[in-house]
This record gives sequence, C-alpha cells and structure tokens, in this order.
Amino acid sequence: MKAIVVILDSLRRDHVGCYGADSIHTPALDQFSRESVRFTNPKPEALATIQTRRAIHTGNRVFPFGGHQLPKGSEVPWAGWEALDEGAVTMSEIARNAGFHTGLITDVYHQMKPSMNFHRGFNQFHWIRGQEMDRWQSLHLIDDDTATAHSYPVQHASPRRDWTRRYLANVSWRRYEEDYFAPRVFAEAMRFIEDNREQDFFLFIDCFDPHEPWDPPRWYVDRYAPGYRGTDLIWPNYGPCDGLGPEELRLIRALYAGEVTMTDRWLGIFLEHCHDLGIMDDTLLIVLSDHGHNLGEHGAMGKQPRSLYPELVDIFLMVRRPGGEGGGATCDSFVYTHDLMPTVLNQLGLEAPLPIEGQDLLAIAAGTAPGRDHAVTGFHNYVNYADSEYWYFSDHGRSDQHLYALADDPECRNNLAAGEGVRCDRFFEICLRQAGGEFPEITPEQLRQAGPWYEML
Amino acid sequence: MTSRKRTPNVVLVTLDSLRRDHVGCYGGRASTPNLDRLAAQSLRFAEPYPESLPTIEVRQALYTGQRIFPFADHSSRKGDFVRWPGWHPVDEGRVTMAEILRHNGYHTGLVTDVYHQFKPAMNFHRGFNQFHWIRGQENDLYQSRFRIPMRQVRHVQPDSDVGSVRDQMLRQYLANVDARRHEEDCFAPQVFRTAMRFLEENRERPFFLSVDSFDPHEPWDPPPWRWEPYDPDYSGRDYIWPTRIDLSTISAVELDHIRALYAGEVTLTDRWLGRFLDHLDALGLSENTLVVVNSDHGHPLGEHGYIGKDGLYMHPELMDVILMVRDPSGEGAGQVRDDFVYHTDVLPTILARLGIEAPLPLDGIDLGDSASERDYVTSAMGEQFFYRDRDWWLIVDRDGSEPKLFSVRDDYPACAENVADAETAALAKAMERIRADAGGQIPDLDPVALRQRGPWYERV
Repeated sequence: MKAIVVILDSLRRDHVGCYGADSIHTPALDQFSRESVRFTNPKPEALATIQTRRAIHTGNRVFPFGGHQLPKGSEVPWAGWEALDEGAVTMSEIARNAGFHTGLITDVYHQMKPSMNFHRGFNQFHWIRGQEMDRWQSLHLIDDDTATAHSYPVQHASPRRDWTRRYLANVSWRRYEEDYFAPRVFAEAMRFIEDNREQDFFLFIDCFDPHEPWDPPRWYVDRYAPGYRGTDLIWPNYGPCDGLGPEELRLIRALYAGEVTMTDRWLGIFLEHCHDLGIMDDTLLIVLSDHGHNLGEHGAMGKQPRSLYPELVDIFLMVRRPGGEGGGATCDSFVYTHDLMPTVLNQLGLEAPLPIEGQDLLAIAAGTAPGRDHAVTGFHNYVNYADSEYWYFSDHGRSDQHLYALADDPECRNNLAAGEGVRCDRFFEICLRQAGGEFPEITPEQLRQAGPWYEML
Repeated sequence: MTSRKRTPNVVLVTLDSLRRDHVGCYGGRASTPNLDRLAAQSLRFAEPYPESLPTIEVRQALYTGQRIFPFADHSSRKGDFVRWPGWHPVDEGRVTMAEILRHNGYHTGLVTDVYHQFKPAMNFHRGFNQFHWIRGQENDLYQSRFRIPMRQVRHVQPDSDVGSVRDQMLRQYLANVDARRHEEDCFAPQVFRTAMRFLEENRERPFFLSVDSFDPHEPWDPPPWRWEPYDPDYSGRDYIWPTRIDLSTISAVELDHIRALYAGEVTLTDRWLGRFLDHLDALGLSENTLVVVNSDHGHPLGEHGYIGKDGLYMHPELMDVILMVRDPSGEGAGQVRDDFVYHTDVLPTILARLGIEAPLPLDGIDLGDSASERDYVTSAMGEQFFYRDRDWWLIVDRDGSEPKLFSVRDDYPACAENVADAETAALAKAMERIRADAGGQIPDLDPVALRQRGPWYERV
C-alpha cells in the first residue's frame, strides 16, 4: 500500500475546472476528479502556508495560535507561523515507524528556514531551492534596471524591489519549461516513484506553485492574455490594490491563471507516470490546496487577515481511493486540512499514537463519520465562519465585521453585518467557542523580530 | 600589501575531522601543500582545541563565541538520531557571526555539506543572506537507498560489520553518491566550487563567507589517485566508513588502507581549498580578505583501538585541531603561536579586526590582541571531560571516575601510559579546573533528555 499527498499552494477553488471554473484550463485536475471523491466545501483550519502544514502533518488544529514566538531567521510575522511542536507526532513519523518508506519533495522554501522541521519523519527529502525570496542565489546577480523593470512603481523605492530581485536571481539560470518550479518538483517526484515503486511508501509532494511570483512560460500566459508583450510585473504588493488599473489587474490574473495551468500540466504528467509505473491500484492519492489568494476582488491583493473572503479561504480537495474506486462522487460536508492525517492513516492501516481532532475524509464521504455543517478558519487576528448560507469574518475585537448571504451574494459584495447583529453574535460566538472561549492575545512583543539582526534580505 | 584602512571581507573555512597530525605545516603525515602555503602567509596557532565536541557543538561555539561546555539543559530533538549532549540548534538567545556581520553591512553567505545542519529544527543558516546546502553526505536522507543492492554495500564494509546499523547507513550513502562520475562531483570539490561562484557573484561588496566542508569526514572514498600515493600496492576492498568496527577482525594491511583513504581525502580537500584560495587571488580579493581556516575535531584511526569519535577516546588524534588566520595586511604572516586557544576565540578575533563591537558578552577572546594567558583547556564529549595543560592530558568521566592521565612531556601524542594512580595531585588539580570551568558544579546529564522521544525516531 502507498499513499501520496499533493499540495498545490495558493490554488483558488474558483480556478479549478471541475469546481466550475469555466475559463481556467486544468484538465489534469478535472480528470483526477473523475477518479476521486471531490469535496465541495474544504477549508484550511488556519492560514497561511506554515499553519496549514502544521495541521496537515499532525491532524490537529493550529488555531487559535497560543503562545506564539517567532524564531530567529523566520521573518513571517503571522501568529501560528511556527515549526512543528516537539510534542506532536506527524503522519510521516507514524508511517515510517510502521515500515513505510517516507519521502518529502518540496519547494516551499519557508520550510527550509532556520528552526523549521517539517521534514521530520521522512526517510528521504528533496528541497527544490529558489522560490520567492529563498536565500539561494546572490541578489547581486540582477542589476537595478532589471529589478526595476519587473517591479511595480510603488515597489521601486521599497525593499520589495529587492525581493523581486532576489527571485530573479534565483531563476536567472533557467532556460526551459522543465527548469520552472512545478516541473522541477514533479520531475523529482517521478524519480521518487521510479526508485521506490516496489516499496510501501508515503510520499508528500508540497508544491509552491501556483504561489506568486507569477512568471509561467509565455505560452501559458497567451491563453489568458493573448498578445500581451509587456514586461512581466510578477509579484504585486500585498494589501490594498487601488493603485492597480484594470489592465494591470487583467495581466496579474492572466499570469496567475497561466501558472495554474502550468502546475496542472505537470501534476498531470506526474499522475500519468504513476499510471505507467503501475502503482495506481495500490495507492491512495490526495490532492489539495492550502489557501487561495486575493486578486483584487475586494480591493485587496495577496493574503491579508482582513481579507478573509472566499477567494482566499476556499480551497479544493480530492481523494482518490486505490484504483479510483467510487470516482466522480462529491461530498458537501465542510472538511478541514487536519482531516488529511486520519484519512491517510486509516487507509494505510495505521493508528495515531495521540488523540487527533481530524476526521477521516472517506468516512465523512461514506456517511460513517459525522462531518460538519460549518467551518471556522483563523488567520492571525481575524477569524472566518462559513456555512452553506452565510459567510462571516471579523477581527478578534469585532471592530471589522463582515457578513454575506451566499445564496444572493456568492461574491460577498454586500456586507450585512450592520443590520444583522444577532447573526453576527452567533457566528462570532461559534468562533470564540472553537478558540476555547477566548482568543489568545497576539502581542507585538511576541511577533517582533528578536533584536536588530533580523532583516528581510 | 593593502593597509588596514579598507574594511576587509571575511572568509571562514571549516574542515571537518581534519587531524592536526595530517597537516604538513603542523608536521603532519598527509600531503597538504595548500594549507602549508596558507600557513606561511598566516598567523598559525599550534595548540587550538575544541571547547566541546563533536560537529554541532563546535559550530555553535564557532558562530557564537560562547561555550557549549558543560552541556547544561540538554534535550534532543525529533528528527535527529544524534544524541550527543550539547547537540543543539543555535540558542535563540545567542547572536551569530553571520547575524552580526549582516547587520554591519556584509553580504553573508554559507556554503556547506555538513548535513547535520539540514536536519529538523536546525538553524545554523541564521543570519546568512545566501545559503547553499550541498546534499548527500554520509547519512543525509537524500536519495532513495533502495537504488542500491545490498551486495554493493557488502563491497565497502568488512564482513564483521555486516548486519550492523552501518548496512543501511552505507546503503544510503552509496545511493547519495550514485550519480558521481568525476573528482569535481565529490563533496569537497562541490563545496569549494560553490564557494568560488559566491566569490564571483559578490566580489564587489563587503562579504562574509562561511565555507563549512564536511570532508575529510568519513565516508572516506576519494578518487583512487588521491589515496594511491599513500598505499600504492593495495588491491583489496575499500572500507569507506569503518566507524566502530571491530579492529580485531581486519588485517594490518586493511587498517593501513583505511588510514590511506583518510589521508587521500585530506589531500583531496586540501587540493580544492587551494583552488578556492587561488580564486580569491585571481579575483583580486586576497589583498582585502581576512581568511580563517580551522578544523572542528580530528578522528581516531585505531591508535587506541578505536575508529570513530567518542568521549572515551579524547586523545590527540581526536582533540588536536588546526587554526590559522591570514590577515590581508600581512600581520602575523608566518608566525606560529603556541598559546591555548578555542573555537570560541574566532568570533571575537574577527569582530576586533573589523572594529565591530560584540552585542553580547562572549566567552572567547581576541587572538589578535596578544597571546592568550590560558594555562589549560577543558572540553567535553558525551559522558566524558577533557583537560590538558603544559604537563598533563586527562580524559575522565563526568563524575570523576575512570581517569586516564598522560604526561604531555613524556607521552604525547602516543598517550600510552595512564599515570592517574601515581599522579593524584595533578589529577585533583585538573578536576578542580574542570569544575571551575563548568561554573562550580557539573550539571547532570538527564538520560531521558538524551533518549529519542518515542518509537518514531530511528536512524534511516
């Protein structure tokens, strides 16, 4: 028996064809959905990248981020952005202990930073270097003019231009599509399958694409912005995007969509290789994203706690049983990222040595586990409640509440919070209860960098 | 020679497991022409010692200037099979060489294949603007070991070692180097080639580069032309990773060959260090770059019945390391100093030379100032302490039992005759000084903290 988990970072649910994205080309994911149980309401229990990995690997919630301490050398100041707890036991540790050969292939460079430990339990780990601002190649490889040309005007005088510069340095050697990140990740994964196809294995493929910077080969962009020949502005600022015009937004969305299609293509090549090597009848395969990304729908770009709209929180999740048994089914229960671990363990016939909060996804789909009719997602000092009718989010202090009725307003345009105090109270209470009765204080002292030695670059 | 006016670049080279007695300029037995040439241009320290062992402990001391000895508050971490006390990430409360230099405007780079630093929770890349991890050394969980048939493993281990934990470790290593074809693909070459690329990229700005080479650490598998000069007639098998093997099960010829493999790896490493130093010259950087070269520890090769690193074998072959400092001003060039120095002295020495104040109090001292006034050194590995002064060399359990005391004047480096029973005064004085260096009291090593936590943490 084998199990493979694939994360595609930052892939919005509304950009996956089988979830209704008519204009986005994701044939591999669409084909995969026909062999899988497709969950229509999956949610990350907490954001962002590192928080989701903690939940996925351990089967336990990370929300609500108590006692956060930022380790030196890890610059991301969102509560819960921490290494795996030493007291936790991971999916890979349990599988390895039971004799499975365990492999991790990832270009999610946050996991390569000082004190991080997400490769615990893996017999074999491959780090694909160079994503985003991974401290890999010298940023001095890129001259000022090039860095400026690939930056937005608002970035020219800020450190952000050097972030872009770092990224351009990291990819400066690249020539062909196979040199891009998703191709490198899935090529390494194919080598893993070739080497280990005769073993019982657990393989975790953690692919940063389609996370920004968005710079897919031109032929993927052509599908979404035909004829565009300008300089790519590959990495917009996080935050309000009122400085971006409609043409800029169109291009940003086209670059993102192009990166989605490139990633899908290489996922497809990988899945094809798994078929060719004859492991698909003996393998549980789970593919999901960790979070989405705001692309200007609500005046915001990037991932911001105060923009907990569906485009950021809605993820996709599909589970393919060995042989594709029961493929094409859907499950409407709300499910979470921390449901992955019990699903994998049950399929491999393993038991968790500690109590875990997640539920087996396949049991939920079969109706033998209770499932959920709503979900609560935390992101730094904000929290989001969602059920099949309403979408609510607020900061911990309730000074910025949002409520949307999804039937009439699926894009969350019309904030009803001011006139729906009772409903807001109820949803906030549910969030608070799931946080254990109160939200831990997120103090600037905990999040501050420890001393003056910790800058971004 | 350029004067001290310009702020120099800094290059720190660490060569893992390089025994002092294998370095030519120290009177050693291996061919190391490049280290010898560097020494002629450097202030060379004849008696440097690690303040604690092994690998990870030394990196902490080197980068922070603070002692790890005597291993207070030890706890092991999930995902690392190494259980030596003091085997920790850099403490969050300490500040590292790279952090300080980056804060002072240096572009900081780390090039290393010391894979222990890639393990879960490790953080030795703190403070580096740019870090390059060369994967695959030793037991790095890199390539799938299933690529390698066990018969291939048998070929590089003595028959008596078959069935030991080494089986799967060797298999992992052979998988890691399976793609190797030429000398340039070996580890020291990969490390120094990457370091040369760093120089090319960053030559126009102040930089700090730490080149941390695992070679000549075992496995010892240099290309044959590197070991053949030491063992020209050998035609048997290569035991590339003979750590803890039963020496009674191999022949004298085989033991000699193990030593030749090690010497060959030393020469390989020296050769590529030389190419790197030449590149500093070619890029015009030598005249403005402070170069510090050190080793972290040595490696017993059967001198006392053991191959490997262990607290019980803190003899000269393990404890004697090298340290040389080449100042671009030429200061100290060709001089040799025999005061006792530690790895903790490297950071304060570099900071003083650059005119940077340390942000925290450091245990080490500025070696550029004047000779250290230390009368002795102390160290620790595992359950044992080490002490030496001008007269005595001591290896002793932490509780003071099992002392092995040798006369430095009569019995160095052989350390063949234990005189602990006769020299009680010397022993008492040494123990007193160990206690003093430990802060007056020797902390207990909690066996629970040293144990792996739960059944999920095996080696391979």
